[in-house]
Amino acid sequence: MSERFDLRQMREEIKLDEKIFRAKPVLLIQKEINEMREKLGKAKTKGRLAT
Amino acid sequence: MASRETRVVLVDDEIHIRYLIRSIIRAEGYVVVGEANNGEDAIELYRKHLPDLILMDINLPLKTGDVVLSEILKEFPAAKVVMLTMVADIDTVKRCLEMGAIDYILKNNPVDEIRRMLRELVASIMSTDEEVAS
Repeated sequence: MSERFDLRQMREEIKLDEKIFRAKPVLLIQKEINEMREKLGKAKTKGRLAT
Repeated sequence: MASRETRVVLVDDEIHIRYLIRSIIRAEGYVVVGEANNGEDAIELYRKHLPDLILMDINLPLKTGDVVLSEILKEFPAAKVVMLTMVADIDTVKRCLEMGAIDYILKNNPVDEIRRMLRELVASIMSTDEEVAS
C-alpha cells in the first residue's frame, strides 16, 4: 500500500514547530542592542518634538 | 573648573563579577561609592549615594534588576541606570530600554569594549550635567 500524504498531520506538525520556535527567546548581540537603543532614543526625541 | 570624580554604584550578586567591574571602573578613574548583591539593597544604595551612574545586573536576588530599574526611575526620573547583564533576550532588552535604562551592556563583551562603552557613557552623562549646571 502506498503512503498517503496527510495534509492535516503536516499542518499540526507545522503548528507545533511554530509554537516551539516562538517559545525560544530571540537573543540579541551587543550591536543589535546598540541599534535598538539608538532607534528608541530617536523615537523618544521625535515624540518630544511632536508634543 | 575642576571636574569631579564620577561616582558609581555597582549591583551584581556574583562577587567575582563585581571584582572585575570594580577594577574596570577604578581603571577609568571613577569611584565605586557602593556595591550591592541584591535588588533591595540596590535601591537603598541609590537613595543613600545618588550616584552619577548605577551599573546593574538583571538576575538578582530579592528583586530583579528590571524591577529595580523601574522603582529607581519612578523615584529618581533623572537616574542614569545601565543594565550590565548576560540576559540578552529581545523582550527584556526592549523593556529595560523603554523603561529608561540609558544603556544595556552584555557582560560577555571583551573587557576593553566594556571600558570603552563606560567611558563614552560617562563622557555623555558628565557633559549633559555640565550643560544643565551652566
